[in-house]
Amino acid sequence: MGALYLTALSNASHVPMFSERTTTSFSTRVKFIPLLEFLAGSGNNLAQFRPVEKRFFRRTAAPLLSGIPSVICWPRMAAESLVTIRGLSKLYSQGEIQVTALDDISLDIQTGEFLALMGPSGSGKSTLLHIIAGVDKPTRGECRVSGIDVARLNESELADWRNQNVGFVFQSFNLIPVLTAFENVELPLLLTRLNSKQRRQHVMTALELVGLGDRAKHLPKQMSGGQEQRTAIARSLVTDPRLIVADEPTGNLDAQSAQDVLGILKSLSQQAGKTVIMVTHDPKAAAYGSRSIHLEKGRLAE
Amino acid sequence: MTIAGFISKNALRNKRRAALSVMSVAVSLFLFVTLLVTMREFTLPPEDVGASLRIAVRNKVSLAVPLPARQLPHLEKIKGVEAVTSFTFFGGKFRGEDFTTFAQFAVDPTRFTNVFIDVKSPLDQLDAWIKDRTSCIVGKDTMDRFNLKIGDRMKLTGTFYPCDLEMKIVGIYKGTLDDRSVFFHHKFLDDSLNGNNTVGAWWIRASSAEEAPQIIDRINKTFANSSAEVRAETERAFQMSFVSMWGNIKILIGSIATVVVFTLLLVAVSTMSMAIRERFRELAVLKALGFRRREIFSFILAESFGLAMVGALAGAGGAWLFFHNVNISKISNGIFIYFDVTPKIMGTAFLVASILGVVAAIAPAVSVARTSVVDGLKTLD
Repeated sequence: MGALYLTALSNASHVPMFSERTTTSFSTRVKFIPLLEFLAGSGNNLAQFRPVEKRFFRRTAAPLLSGIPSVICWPRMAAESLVTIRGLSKLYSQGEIQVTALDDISLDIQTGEFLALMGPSGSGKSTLLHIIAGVDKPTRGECRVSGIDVARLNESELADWRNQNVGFVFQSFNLIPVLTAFENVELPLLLTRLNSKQRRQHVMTALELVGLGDRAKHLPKQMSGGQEQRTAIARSLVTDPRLIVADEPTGNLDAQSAQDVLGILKSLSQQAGKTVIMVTHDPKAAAYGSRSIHLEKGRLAE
Repeated sequence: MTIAGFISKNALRNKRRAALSVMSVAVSLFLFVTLLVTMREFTLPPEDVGASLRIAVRNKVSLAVPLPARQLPHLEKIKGVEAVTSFTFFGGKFRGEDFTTFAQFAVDPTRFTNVFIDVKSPLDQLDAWIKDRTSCIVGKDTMDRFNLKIGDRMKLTGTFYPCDLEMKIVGIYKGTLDDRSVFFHHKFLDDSLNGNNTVGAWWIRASSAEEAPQIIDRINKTFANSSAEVRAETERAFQMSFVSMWGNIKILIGSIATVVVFTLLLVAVSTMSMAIRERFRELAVLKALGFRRREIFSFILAESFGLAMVGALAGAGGAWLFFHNVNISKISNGIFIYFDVTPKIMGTAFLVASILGVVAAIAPAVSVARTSVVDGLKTLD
């Protein structure tokens, strides 16, 4: 598996670094678009390199799905729907007052889709994103990702599931300040059985994909906001998850860096088949998505 | 990057705080080790062969109340008593010192070596001592400390006896646990006091260590209901009761050591809590990336434990090095003789540090475990 990554990298170096189709306003993008094209065009996708075997604290080397009770596994959706949400509600208690964050949401998100979740503050878009990503649980309803009812997984299963299936991109990057870009990207791989050489291959591939191969040894404080966010995207990619969730990924970036980051997310969706769900306030950012949905007071707005 | 590397980078992210934490643990453990060594020194039982055979006999009322010299023949007749010597503490000051820095005892030289069988001294010197009632033998440590030599005069200024004693040093002894004392003729003390038919205590050698309890019982019964009832006990028990005259020093030192450890614990918990509170958001990110609660707990535990152990190495190790290389006996004017940092004390210090490391990690780890990823991500940096 690691060899394929290497092959991809070595082949990528022979791919023209610049083409009309990939013309962008930022210099780095040309470095990863051809690589993604190569991966997509060769019939491979990153999913083939999934580091499914776990190590360190992990008890099992078996793929995660085998450990999940069959009763909560649905048959794979015929329409390639990666995320299926039915009647999802989320209520918060604030003292004696109950706040409805999400109210009877039903939604399908297809594999490879780049979905922009929009809405005013407090509309429930981040809550929806958190539930899909398995960091929050619904009060009612179901949220299935790849047929798995995420809400029914226990803490440990959820942690494993997130490690293998979800990549996170946050508004404030959330890189560990004492770790270099390389080490930050490597973090999720510490939970796998990959050896250090294999991890290095994965990390460098991910950093090359976001155009930061030459910044591997830099600490977050030595990078610009845009570079930090691209490092965070590399971290979200490195385990090759099916789903990438981004919560206001351009909220702390200047226009140019925002454009770079959105371009990467779009490429991941279009060329690597990743499902990207992005929360944003910004209509310009949402325009990068293949679909936008609006939430208002916890309900889907047409 | 390895997990260990990740943990150490986290532990050292705020180098000043890490250094101060390590130093606080180190200083506290240095103090803790010092207290343990002090307590051991005070309560160190005599462990030489002779001590297991020796019985101390003192007045039942108090050690300060003397016993009549006429008890000697009665003691010698008791079954199991091999030898008896008078044993009176003089407590004189030497060469203008402010207080007594080594003990002086009035004994019966002819019986002395039969009781203190571990005393090693050349026979000619012992003979010279027996023959001259104004002479004394001095422990090698005291001879060395004051650069004394045989033939020198030793003048002791009485503190609670109303007389001064000037004696000739005729012998040097060694081989006991405490080679600092001075032994001289009881008759010389009696003469100096213009006739004195009392002794401070009797020191007895029993026929066997196994029989000592029965002999003690016989001695006590012999003088029961007399004008001078006695309290006989093993030399070790006597030493312990002597120490208790200082107050319950063991409890005192133990209390101080406990306070040191407790204070250290509060400092460590506070430091770890601060360190973790600053990283709540990062730890939530780790959870989001797939790290489990117990893995996060392990990181925090390892970090806390690591800092505590480095502190222990510096503190307990430093104490070991310090007390190993510094002459504590000289610094303390002979109050402490050995001041050994034993393996048991080192083990105790490291055990305390280990417990400290674990306990300090529990509160922040529980706090992190209880916080959901969502709440953690909302935490401000």
